[in-house]
Amino acid sequence: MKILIAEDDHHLRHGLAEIMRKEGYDTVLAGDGDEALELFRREQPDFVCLDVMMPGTNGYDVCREIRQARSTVPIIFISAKSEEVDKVLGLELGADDFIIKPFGVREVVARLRAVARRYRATAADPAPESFAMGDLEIFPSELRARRGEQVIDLGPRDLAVLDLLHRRRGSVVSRDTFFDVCWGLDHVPNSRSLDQHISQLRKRIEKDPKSPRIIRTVHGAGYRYDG
Amino acid sequence: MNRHLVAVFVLIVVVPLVIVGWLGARLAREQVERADERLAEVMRSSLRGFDAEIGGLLDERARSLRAAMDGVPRTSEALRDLTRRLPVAGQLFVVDAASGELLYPSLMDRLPASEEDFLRRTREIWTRHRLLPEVAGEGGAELGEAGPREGWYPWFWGDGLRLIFWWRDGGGRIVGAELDRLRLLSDVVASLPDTDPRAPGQDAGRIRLLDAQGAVLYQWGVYEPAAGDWPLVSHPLGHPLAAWSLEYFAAGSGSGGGWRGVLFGLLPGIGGLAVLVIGLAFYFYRESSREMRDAAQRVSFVNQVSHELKTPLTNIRIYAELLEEELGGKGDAARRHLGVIVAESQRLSRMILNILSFSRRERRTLELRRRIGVVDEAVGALLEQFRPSLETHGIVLGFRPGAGRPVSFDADAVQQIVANLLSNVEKYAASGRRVDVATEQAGEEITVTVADRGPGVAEGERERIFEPFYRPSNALSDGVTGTGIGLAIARDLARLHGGDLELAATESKIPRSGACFRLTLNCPSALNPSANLGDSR
Repeated sequence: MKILIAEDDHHLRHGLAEIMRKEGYDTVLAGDGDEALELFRREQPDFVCLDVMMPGTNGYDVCREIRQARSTVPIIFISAKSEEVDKVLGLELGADDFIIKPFGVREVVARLRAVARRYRATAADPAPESFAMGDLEIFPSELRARRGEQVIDLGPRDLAVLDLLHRRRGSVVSRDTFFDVCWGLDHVPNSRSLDQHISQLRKRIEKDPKSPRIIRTVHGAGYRYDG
Repeated sequence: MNRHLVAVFVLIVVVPLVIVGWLGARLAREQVERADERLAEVMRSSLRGFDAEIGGLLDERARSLRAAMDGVPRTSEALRDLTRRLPVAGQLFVVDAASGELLYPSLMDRLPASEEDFLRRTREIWTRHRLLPEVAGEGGAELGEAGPREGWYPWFWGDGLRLIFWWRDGGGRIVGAELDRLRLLSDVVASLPDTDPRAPGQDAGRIRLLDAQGAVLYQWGVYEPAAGDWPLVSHPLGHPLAAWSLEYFAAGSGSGGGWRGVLFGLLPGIGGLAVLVIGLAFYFYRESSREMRDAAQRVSFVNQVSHELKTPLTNIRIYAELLEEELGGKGDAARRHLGVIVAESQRLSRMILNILSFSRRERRTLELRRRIGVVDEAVGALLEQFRPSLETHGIVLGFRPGAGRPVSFDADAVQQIVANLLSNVEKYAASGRRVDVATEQAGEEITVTVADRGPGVAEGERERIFEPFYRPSNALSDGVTGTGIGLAIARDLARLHGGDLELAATESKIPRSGACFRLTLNCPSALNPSANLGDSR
């Protein structure tokens, strides 16, 4: 999935990009509203993050134009303006959510996943209903997993990793295969990216992250799900 | 000027002026009335004196008529001659006391014009015996020697009052005279004072002698009453001139004249008071406006500063968190340092959020944004954020989730409330070394309890701690940082949710603690059609 990030602050723009890439999105970056509209038309992203106060065309107007062009793409406003009228205005323009600065990585990831989940639920080609890995039930369309009463949020990349392991149950999935399938062919992640991601994912889905039962490490080869 | 200010202006300026004006006018009116009463009493006495003068004049005329008629033969010639010689007597007459027949002037005689006029004027008196009741008196005696010996008979003819004086002459006859009207008026006027500006009181009033129709017969005094003025005193003359009256007009009284004087006297005073009150009101309004402008500027500045802080703070947080993830399990010192950066940026975020919430609270624009979600997830995420900071303070965090069903609530608001409570635990209850958070869900009511094992809250401060800027002053809290607005905001957000935030007694389900805050929320279930999907007040 491709996400368009429109934010005039350089550091924040690239910080958000890194967060989105970790989630498994390809990113397209714009530094002002006019660039955002141009990139939207050219790149046709699957998701849009808009800052409100940008040079040139502001985020509200960008949202309005995007809605006129294609009405279903998920849009999240990211802004420092927290006044109620601003929130209402943002949401009445057809945005799907509104995140107020300051926020951390977890907040934006949680919001992103929530909107993506709603989007996937209404997509024309919805993901398979669910699959199980041990006592963990994974629901791709919801971007969630459940273990009994416990509910675990998942990102697209998390899903991709688990789906790959599930489909290759019993076999070792190499690091390169992970990169190709879950990071994309045009990505050049470093080796640590996969390990970090797996580490973070284990913390959320394993009963005992130090003794993982779902994502097992095969040293020197990759990872495996034994079923 | 908005309606509120208009109402305040009316209340503090117009109402006092109206009250003072009314009281002043009333007081002045009473004073004027008392002064008029005193003057009226004096003038009544004066008018009675004039009446007595006129009465004395009539008595003197009566005596002179009797004296003049004494010894005069009762023949027409003698009586005509006497009439000519008595200017005061317009016409003499003689009536037979027994029959009431007019003996003189008699229709049997050839009468001069004056006597014929007299007869024409007085025909009713003689033909209808109008004089007889007078002669008979109240006892109703027959015409004879019984009854009054003399009397006056007033009657009206043509242009006004006429007077007849009669007396019994002892010869079985009633003798009388119709007084000459003009001569009578002239004599009455002569008995009354002239206008003399130097005379005491004459410059401040006027006395009028009025006839039966109210026409002025005579008046004296310098003061000229205006049309529509009414007299201060009115006194009808005594018999036989009871149809006439004396009236006294005082300068400045009647027809509101005295009133006008009082009001004109009051106006400068009321005007001065109005200027003073309006000036004070304007001064206080200006000062109040200035304070409000200053306060608005301070709020705007705070908003602006907070707004400007947000983006750099966001960058600090996300890059610190990204770096934390990069380090993974390595670099303990670096992770610790990063942990501090992350925790402090989160703390700074909460402070800014509190300040902005407080600003909206003061402007009464604090609102919720409900979304479908799970309270345990929101609380859990917040606790994970706080865990490193709590551990730094040596506080063990316990969490017992019990609100796992989706409901409609404002996750940001709930996290802000719980964050404020945990922040207070760090500041005031770290000595207890433990904080337990529990959630419960019963229908649409969600309860979140945060219980610590610190020193607790003194009895007298259990409600005061929810007041903005209030911070308990004691050895434990002096020197503790903080703005004092966290609990006020937390309670407002809780109440916006249809619930409340209270300092409760220790729950038996949670291990004994120093202070236990209970947050209750009204959260419609996700299945409720009215849940969510919009802001709510």
